[in-house]
Amino acid sequence: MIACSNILDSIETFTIAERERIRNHDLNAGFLCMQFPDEILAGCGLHPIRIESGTGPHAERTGEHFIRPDACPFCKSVLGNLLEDSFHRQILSMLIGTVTCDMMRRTLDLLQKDGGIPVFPVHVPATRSDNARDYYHAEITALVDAIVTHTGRPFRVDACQNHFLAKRRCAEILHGILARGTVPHSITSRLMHLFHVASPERLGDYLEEIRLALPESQRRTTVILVGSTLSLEDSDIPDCFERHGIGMINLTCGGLHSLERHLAPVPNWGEQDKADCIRDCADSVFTGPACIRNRPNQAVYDRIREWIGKTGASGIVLKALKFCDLWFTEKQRMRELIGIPILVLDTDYSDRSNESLVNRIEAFIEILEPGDHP
Amino acid sequence: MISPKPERISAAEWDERFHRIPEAYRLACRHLRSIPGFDGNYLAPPSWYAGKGDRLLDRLKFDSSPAALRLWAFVFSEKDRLFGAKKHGWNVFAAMKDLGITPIMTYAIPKTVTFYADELWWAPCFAENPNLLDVASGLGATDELCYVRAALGAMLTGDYFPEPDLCIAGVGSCCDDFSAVMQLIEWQGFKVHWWEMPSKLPFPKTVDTGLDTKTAGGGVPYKRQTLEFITKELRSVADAAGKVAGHSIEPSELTANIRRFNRLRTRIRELRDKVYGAEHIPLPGLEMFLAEFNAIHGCSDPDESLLVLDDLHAEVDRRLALGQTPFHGNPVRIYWVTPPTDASLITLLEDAGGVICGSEYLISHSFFPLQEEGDPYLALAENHLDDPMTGSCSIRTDRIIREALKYRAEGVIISGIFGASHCPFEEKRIIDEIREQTGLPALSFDVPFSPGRTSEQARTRIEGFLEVVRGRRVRTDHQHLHSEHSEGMTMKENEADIQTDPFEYFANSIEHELEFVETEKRSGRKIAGIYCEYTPRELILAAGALPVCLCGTSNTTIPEAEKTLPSNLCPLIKSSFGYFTTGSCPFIEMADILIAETTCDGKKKMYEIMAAEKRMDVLELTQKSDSIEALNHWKSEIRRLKGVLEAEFDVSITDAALHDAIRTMNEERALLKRAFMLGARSPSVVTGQELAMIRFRVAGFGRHINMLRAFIAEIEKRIERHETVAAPHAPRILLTGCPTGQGSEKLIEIIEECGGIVVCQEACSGIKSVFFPTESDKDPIDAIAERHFKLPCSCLTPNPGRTELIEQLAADFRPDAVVDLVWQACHTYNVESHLVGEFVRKKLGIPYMKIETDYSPSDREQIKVRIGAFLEIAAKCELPQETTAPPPNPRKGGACRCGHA
Repeated sequence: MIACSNILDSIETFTIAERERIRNHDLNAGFLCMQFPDEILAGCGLHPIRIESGTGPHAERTGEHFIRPDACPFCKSVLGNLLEDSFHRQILSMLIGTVTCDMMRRTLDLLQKDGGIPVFPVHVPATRSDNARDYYHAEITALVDAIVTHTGRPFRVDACQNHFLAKRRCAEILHGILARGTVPHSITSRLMHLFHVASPERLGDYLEEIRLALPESQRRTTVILVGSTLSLEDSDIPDCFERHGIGMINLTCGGLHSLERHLAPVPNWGEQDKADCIRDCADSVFTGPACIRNRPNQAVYDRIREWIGKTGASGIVLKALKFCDLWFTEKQRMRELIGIPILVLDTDYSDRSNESLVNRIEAFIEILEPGDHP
Repeated sequence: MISPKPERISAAEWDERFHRIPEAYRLACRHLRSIPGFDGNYLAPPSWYAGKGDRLLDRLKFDSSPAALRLWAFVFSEKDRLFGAKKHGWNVFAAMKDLGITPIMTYAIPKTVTFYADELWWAPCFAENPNLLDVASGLGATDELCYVRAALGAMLTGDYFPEPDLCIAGVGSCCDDFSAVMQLIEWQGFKVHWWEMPSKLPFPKTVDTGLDTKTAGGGVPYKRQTLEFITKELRSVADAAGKVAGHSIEPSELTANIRRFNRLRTRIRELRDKVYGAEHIPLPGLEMFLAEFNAIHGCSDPDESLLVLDDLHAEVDRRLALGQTPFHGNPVRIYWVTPPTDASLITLLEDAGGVICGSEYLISHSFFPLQEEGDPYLALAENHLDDPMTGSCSIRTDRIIREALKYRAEGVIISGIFGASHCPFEEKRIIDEIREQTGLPALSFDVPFSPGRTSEQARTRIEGFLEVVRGRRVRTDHQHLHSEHSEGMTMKENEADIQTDPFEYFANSIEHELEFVETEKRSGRKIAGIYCEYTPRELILAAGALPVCLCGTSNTTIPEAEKTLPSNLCPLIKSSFGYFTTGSCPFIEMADILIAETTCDGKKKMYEIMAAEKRMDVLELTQKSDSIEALNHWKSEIRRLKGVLEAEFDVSITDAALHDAIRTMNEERALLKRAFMLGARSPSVVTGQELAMIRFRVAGFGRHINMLRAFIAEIEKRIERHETVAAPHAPRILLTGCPTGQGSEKLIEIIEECGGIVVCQEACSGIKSVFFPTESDKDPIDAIAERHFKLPCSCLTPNPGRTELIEQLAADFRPDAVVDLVWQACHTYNVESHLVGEFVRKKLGIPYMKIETDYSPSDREQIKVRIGAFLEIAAKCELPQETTAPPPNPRKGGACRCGHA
């Protein structure tokens, strides 16, 4: 039983143990986007790790050795990490390059040229036509064949399915925790990190323990966070809201967004052959939650409205990483389509603008809670 | 038909000559001929189209042939075609992003015009009006996006094209900027058909067996499944367009249209080879760019487009046969990547003695012919696979290098687009590959939006680049002479020096310094590396050694330094240390000893770490500027250093040698001071960026002195020619604070990019360290010690010398404002800025601003916003009604009273 006061220490201990296991695992495969069925990597005998950590001023600046500074901070951090001797560089046997936005595609192009880690690109369609769905199946199938050729290990349907089911269990528990909007970000961000990197078979039981240890609490106001991916280290904004007693629903793909695919009805796993299994995995992504890069992307707005209804949130924080055109361009549309106050923040991983960030958030809180200034 | 001598002429000159064009030729220039009753004559001089809104045309130069005029008029009359077609009930399709594929399908539908909304990226620059961008900004497409957001503005204003019946938008593995804009267009109620453009990045070579097929046009490898997918997507586009138009496109109609566009593409390909391959380029660059853009959609009338191109071919053939060209002399051949949004830059390049001998942009797949046999959709899909936007940058880079070599380019310019998501990734890579594979000089810069004028920043860069390329010609010629007549080497080298452009020399001065120091080292001369202006170079010179100021102004070595040093240390220290640990500064490697001082805490402790690996002597710099005991101790430290050098280099430093060294350094500093004082002239004749280049690392280097004299002479020539380098009322800025150097001049650049002019750099990298000479008529050690003790660095306490110097400089340079540069975590300058700010505001009565930053370029835009606002304040300051604040500012008649700070 984990004591409430020891939750962070406990997570830290669990994380260190998981990192050690990852170090000792013979084949780890990194991937970059939630619009990818990581269970197929488990089916190929690999340990899947979503790269959503390792960001920060140092990695970002190192990335600037390879590209101009006016590029996405996340892409720069990925370059900085994978092109120098980082943890990810040490543990990864390959990188699955989900081709999503323009900058990520060019990041993968650079990694293919200079990275030293084999990069397997997969095109993730922006559109949602039947043709695009078939193509995504074909892309995932080709990826599996390429990985099997590369590693010499066969694809095992049971390993793929077991991973999916174990991860689904983790996603259900985490979804319950994150949807409260009251659990400190310092805890949820670390749990999400574990969801992205740890073995789901071990993580499930552990998350149950954490869930029981978490105290119930109330927040007088809740905001919804949407926007670019929220990496493990990128905690300035959630921390600031937390300091002021404001609850936060993290709908980014570093939060609830990356869990929701796993909550859809389980495909009819049963006795499947490899082709069916891969098709189901690809489908679960393709029919999963929409991303802002999807065209058209109205479904993103529908989902935000749904969460406003569920939570009674009184404000939206649109956090775009600098130079992320796909999110930042939506700011005016969001103001007009979502009927509650919106704070638009354009951030990177440096700590230069922290004070102005805090000022803006505090001003926003004053709008949400007039007369009750933090 | 008239055949004038080829020239580049202005819009006004075309007005005068237009009447010479025969009536028959004017009447032959008709568009949309298949619409009965359409008033289709479009030939008019550029000023006529300028009057309709494209005002930039008044500032360009044009080829003097009627064929070229026809091209210009055809391109700029496109909106007449679009509105005309709509008025006559034709279908209007807006294609987006695929740049060359969609129109081949839509033109298979009768009574159809198709344009590219992407092309609106040129519109704000040609209109010299940000209206379209402002409209787009109001909907969220702000200036983080590139100029394609003007398409959104144009959709709403309806000024450039009528409402399209359908927008056909390629998304997926392409440009996010445009994808985001298209989403906003759909939000505004326009009908959009989306189709997917897949990525072409391959699997690792060891496993990728599906890439054995290559496109016929560009030789790009692809997977069969990708081709099949695109084929289906294109069928969906044809179906959607056909549905809107009520016409189902038959394969035979599509094949016929492929043949039609192949004729167009072939004419453009041939034209490129004729013009760019010629020894004497027969057609200017802008005409070539316009002709090339016809490849993507025939400028909304593919049949007329063919006739326009036929005319151009005839003119080019005639010129080639006669050996005629519109250019004078031997222009520098430039291959231009991504034509600039501001077309006046091409006119500028050609005016400055350059010529375009090739171009590459994201439409290059539209120059390739399509397969005319078999499934037409497969042919289109294969052509789409050649699109450079969707594949690896290496495909694009290979094309650029191949063509630059084929067309014998002497240099490559890449003009970036502010906000474009591909530019940050591609530019650096393309530049690196060009330099590595071809050795050609390459320049890249983003083109600013500067309505009504050509950006001075871009002008400087283009003109400077042409000088660099010309300089290479001179060097190549001299190398040739050298190999033929080696006995004449010294004389020819001197001649080369005389011909060397001092600006180019100082831009690359480190190479010359390195060569010199290596030579001196090989000859047995000792090298002493120094860090700070407090180290007396005179002592080192008197010891027969060479003082070299070490590197510490680059951002690139900081990550390495942060592995050892804390990150919250000033960038100068971290950069210096990074050079030390990485071994990337050859001067450190060559140095026999490093000499430093106890200035700030960070440096002191860094020297301790360095001392473990390198011979180092640290002078104790006493820091109480008003204490005689402190000065005496400093003198004893200088004497101690003399002993250290004597022992280290096994020499005796005589008074005579010290007097010689004092004289040498006094002359060097006086010359530098003379150069810096040129900044005092009003209007300005030299920029802060030019002055920032002239400081050098190696003292007592004769070639530097010569080039410094040449630099001063060049500036004095500007004075004689009444040339200025800044707008008459550009705010004059005195820059104080931390030192800058090559690689850390961003604040100076930003001030000048924002329209200010840095007239004086007070820092120790500027005039501070050369302002006072060493007295020559007293004991040399005392004189040297006293001179250096007077340097008003913020590490001294108190430090009244700094404000005294600023006051003196304010009187000499008459600045409108003072900017105080503080490197992050430089505590002494940061704290002292309070006193300096008070002094500047209250005593000098002019605006003051502190900028705290580091070497990273990532905050450039933030600083730019602040500086922009500050310069406005500086420019608005007026004479106070009552003031006792010295010194008066003669340019504005007095000091500021507005209270801005």
